[in-house]
Amino acid sequence: MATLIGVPALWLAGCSDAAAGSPAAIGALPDGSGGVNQGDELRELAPRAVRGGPPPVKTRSARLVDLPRAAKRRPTSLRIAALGLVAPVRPVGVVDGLVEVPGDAGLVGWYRHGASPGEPGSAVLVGHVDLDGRRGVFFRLRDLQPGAVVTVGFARGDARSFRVVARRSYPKGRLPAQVVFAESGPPYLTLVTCGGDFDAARGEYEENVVVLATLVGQAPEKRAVAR
Amino acid sequence: MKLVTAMAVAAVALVASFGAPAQANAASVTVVHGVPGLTVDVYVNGDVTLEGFEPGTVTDPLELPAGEYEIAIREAGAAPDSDPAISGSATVEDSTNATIVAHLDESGTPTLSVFANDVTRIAAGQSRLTVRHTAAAPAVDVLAGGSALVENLANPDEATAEVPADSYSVAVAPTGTTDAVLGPTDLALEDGTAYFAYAVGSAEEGTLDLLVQTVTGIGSAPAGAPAGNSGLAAEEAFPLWAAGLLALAAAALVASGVALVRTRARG
Repeated sequence: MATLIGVPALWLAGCSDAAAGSPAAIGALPDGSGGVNQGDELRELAPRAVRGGPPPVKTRSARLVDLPRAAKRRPTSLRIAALGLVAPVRPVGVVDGLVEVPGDAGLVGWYRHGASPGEPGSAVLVGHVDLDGRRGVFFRLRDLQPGAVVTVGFARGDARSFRVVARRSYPKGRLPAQVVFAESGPPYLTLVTCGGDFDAARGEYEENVVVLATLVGQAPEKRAVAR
Repeated sequence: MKLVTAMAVAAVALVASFGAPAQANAASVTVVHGVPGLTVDVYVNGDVTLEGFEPGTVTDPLELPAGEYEIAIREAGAAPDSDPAISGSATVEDSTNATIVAHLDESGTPTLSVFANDVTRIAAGQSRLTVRHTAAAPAVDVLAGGSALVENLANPDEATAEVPADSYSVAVAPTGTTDAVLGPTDLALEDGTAYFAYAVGSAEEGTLDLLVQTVTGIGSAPAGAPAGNSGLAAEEAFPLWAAGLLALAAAALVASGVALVRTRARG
């Protein structure tokens, strides 16, 4: 009896530690008071006859055809040698305010509204820990250790490598958005799956397991992951 | 060029900015030029602020203190004391985000309109599309992917919709028809971006065009990822723990029951 009670008690303590440590890391969303216009093709008006006044107002074309188009490179494959994991990657969006997770437990989803792997900010890859009684592609993500190498392949055959620097769990709904969904800053990879306590009644886990990996460099094309 | 003085007096409604501090802040004002064929100088309170402003262009947002502004628009290079082509006044309130548009009214007369821009946060994965009818044209429908996103929009009205961030084939057609007078054209709407689209120009003169002003960085992050539903990754101790707790509870219940029985027996 003592063993039966002791094991879960430790396990629960581990969960509450993770929960207690996370609020400080849960950043507020970026300041919502404004926003900036896209200005990739800003040009200055000819500064003629400026009589010591304010700087010239910048203008740009507002024509629809000149609207800047963000062309993100789509990752197509993921390899984590330490877990023996090789999986195809598909773009995913948002469903009901949550990152869409592929309906196939063997697929990894790339959050298409975030960064492309290797571009500034956080590139988010999501995968199931399990689905309908089967182990998912990220079943062992919680075992991934700092230092492990994660490689993302692209359609053109090239790849980018990342090195795991941290792994944490956060209660669902309390992901630190500034970390997981950073839109700028150094390029890194954020791997997300479920973990923690499992609420059998609701059929869902109570935490998200998050692994952060920073960009190592551009892998040679010959090492690129197939698919 | 016909010189017309159109007085457009519009107050900018206070936009409740999500998370914005309560104290007074400068307003953010953008100027859009939607009058075809007329390069202009823009005067604000008598001072030239923008020179050689071309049709189809938009300014960067200008930080302006709240207040009333007199705006005069003259053909580029015209004498500062000449009659303006368009003039009007705009009341700019604290902490607002607004756009001043030089455009044609429904009958083709140049005018100024002031619109308050909704730059509040957009839900994760969504884009906000605001369509403004600022063209010399009858009321229109805005079609996205073949179906009406906005119906019966007349100059100088606007309509707003939040839609999933995606690519849409967008067209503008006279109300009740699908005969596109603008488009169809592909519009890639990005997550967390507000698009303010202006139908400008004149239907009669064949100068209709679509101008777009964007405000980026007002998106929301998803709350998480529903990446498991089976409990396989929960530590194996979970069911044991549940079983253990049940067993303990049962034992306690039996013990207390026994104690109760004993107490009664003694009484």
